Amino acid sequence: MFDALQLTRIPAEDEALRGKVRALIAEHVLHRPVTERVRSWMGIDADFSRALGAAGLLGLTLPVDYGGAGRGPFARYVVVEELLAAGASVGLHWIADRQSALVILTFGTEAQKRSYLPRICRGELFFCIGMSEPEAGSDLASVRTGAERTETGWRLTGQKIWTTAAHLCDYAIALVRTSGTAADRHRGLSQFIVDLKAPGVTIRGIEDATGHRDFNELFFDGVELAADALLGEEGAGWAQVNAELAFERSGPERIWSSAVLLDSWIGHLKQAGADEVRTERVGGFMAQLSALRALSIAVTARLAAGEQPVVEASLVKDLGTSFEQAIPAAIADDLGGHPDEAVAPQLRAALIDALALAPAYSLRGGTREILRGIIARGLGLR
Amino acid sequence: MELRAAFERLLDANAGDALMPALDGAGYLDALRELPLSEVEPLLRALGARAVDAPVAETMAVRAVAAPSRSLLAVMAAAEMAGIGERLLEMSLEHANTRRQFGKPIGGFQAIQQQLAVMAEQVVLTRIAAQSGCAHGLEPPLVEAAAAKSVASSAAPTITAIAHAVHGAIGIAREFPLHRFTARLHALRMSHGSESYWNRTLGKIRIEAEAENSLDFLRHV
Ligand SMILES: Cc1cc2nc3c(=O)[nH]c(=O)nc-3n(C[C@H](O)[C@H](O)[C@H](O)COP(=O)(O)OP(=O)(O)OC[C@H]3O[C@@H](n4cnc5c(N)ncnc54)[C@H](O)[C@@H]3O)c2cc1C
Repeated sequence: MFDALQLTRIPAEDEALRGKVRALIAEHVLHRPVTERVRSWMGIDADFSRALGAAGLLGLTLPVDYGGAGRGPFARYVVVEELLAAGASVGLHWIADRQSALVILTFGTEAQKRSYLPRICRGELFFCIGMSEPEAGSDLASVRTGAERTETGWRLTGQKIWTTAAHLCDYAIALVRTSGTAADRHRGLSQFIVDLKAPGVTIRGIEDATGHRDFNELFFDGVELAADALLGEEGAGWAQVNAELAFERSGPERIWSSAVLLDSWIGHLKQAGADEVRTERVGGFMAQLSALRALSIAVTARLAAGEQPVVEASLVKDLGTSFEQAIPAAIADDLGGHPDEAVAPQLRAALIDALALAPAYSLRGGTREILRGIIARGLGLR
Repeated sequence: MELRAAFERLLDANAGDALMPALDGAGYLDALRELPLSEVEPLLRALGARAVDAPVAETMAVRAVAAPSRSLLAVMAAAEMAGIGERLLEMSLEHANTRRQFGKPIGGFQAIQQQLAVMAEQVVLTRIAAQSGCAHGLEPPLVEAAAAKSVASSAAPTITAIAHAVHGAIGIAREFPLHRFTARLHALRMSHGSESYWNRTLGKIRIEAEAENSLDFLRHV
């Protein structure tokens, strides 16, 4: 069962990338407060995104011809795990690097690839995900935003929601209906590259529980799109968006979201002292993290073999997000269980933010229940 | 692959008291003297998949190193546990697809599907943990051994509970084989250190380590 997930070693030439990433982390990340570093892939730092691009650490898997590094998924794995484990602010380039660039590479025209990919690799062009709508969450095929043909291209009307970082990005890749009605489900959907500065696009921020503005509502009020805004084939949007979700779900980011908080708490234990209960908790998290990391690397090996490990990635994401969510819950009990102990305000504040944000870990990118459904189908259950 | 297939034929042909002599005669009890642990690991899973309770792994270990460490015995137990988990998952899927209630296979109910997904996750996690533990030869580093056995032992209650939940009452009937596998998994969970033992060991090492962060720590075991 799932025999494709085998213990794999990261190739030496990819391991060799760590030094370069760590140098950038030392310069841009380590001095930042824990409260900032826990946000990591929601954190924004344009200078850092550009520095990664300049160092050749974005678009690692894209062909050299389009500005990429022409390397394999293991190279990206190494860079990404270093960034996340250190809590680097990667939110600005994250989505372009993880999925938008790959969707453009896979389905885009030559002109689209030439236009977007080199700037993504330089850390100058940022993308967001225009999938969810108020009435289309887990049931993504029920999107209602529509595009109709005009003489020069397309006219876009509708609304997206929960669009992470849209207010800071240049483009969204949006899934919209180009024919039929919502009842046609998977047929009649297409993807578009939408310029977020175009007339008729309104972006309205939504504050999250911690008071940060991470996600947004996007309104399209008769936005005129040129013909070349269509990405891939008209009507093939469903297959394309599933390929995009496979890119989204198969990265290693789903195990590291609480790593900075965990390490900060371990730092606290070094000072305050660790009894048996504390020691045991730390050990349990290390054991799980060790096995999850091995699984993440095993998924990366499937990507490197040219596969789309959709079911395997869902399995690792569900395990990984459960692990990430367990950490703040356990630390809250631990610190509360030692009421007379002094706790650094930074650690306490980071914990409170993590408790507020952790529920999102098993929502974003597909909910726990949806992922378990994918796994069950992979097990042959109908 | 071939090695495991031949080993499985021997296991299936020899039950009870005949097993150890047969394995000895065919040289399998000396496997660890000739092969790296990583290549013996699939054989350990094959033992688990049959809930063999003869001391095969322990004998292999003693023949290879006179006084095997707890770490070695723990990672070998983890591999057997992975094999039991794989078998329990197969049995549970088979049952879910054949047992019918309310006019359809119970595997068609979302509540059952979601439980089996969770079980599969824990089985796959156990397997990769066991493989990691078995990747370092006859003297597994303490951190690797601890991680492997902790993960395998922590998964055991979830795996056994879901297997039984999906099977219903038949699962605890003596004549039905399920309980042999779940009992063996419970027993191995306790052997050579359960999760709390290994978590304490691993936690102490982590807290005392100089590592920059947890990634750094795990990479330098
Ligand atoms: C932090 C964050 C960032 C996000 N960023 C983006 C983004 O950038 N772009 C974007 O497009 N979207 C984004 N999303 C949206 C995300 O993709 C959706 O939240 C997700 O798909 C779930 O949709 P929903 O929130 O409408 O929940 P719903 O679909 O309404 O689900 C609510 C509950 O019902 C359950 N449920 C639904 N259907 C079923 C079913 N068939 N069987 C069993 N249970 C079911 C769900 O599992 C969940 O528990 C983001 C979400 C979060 C939390």
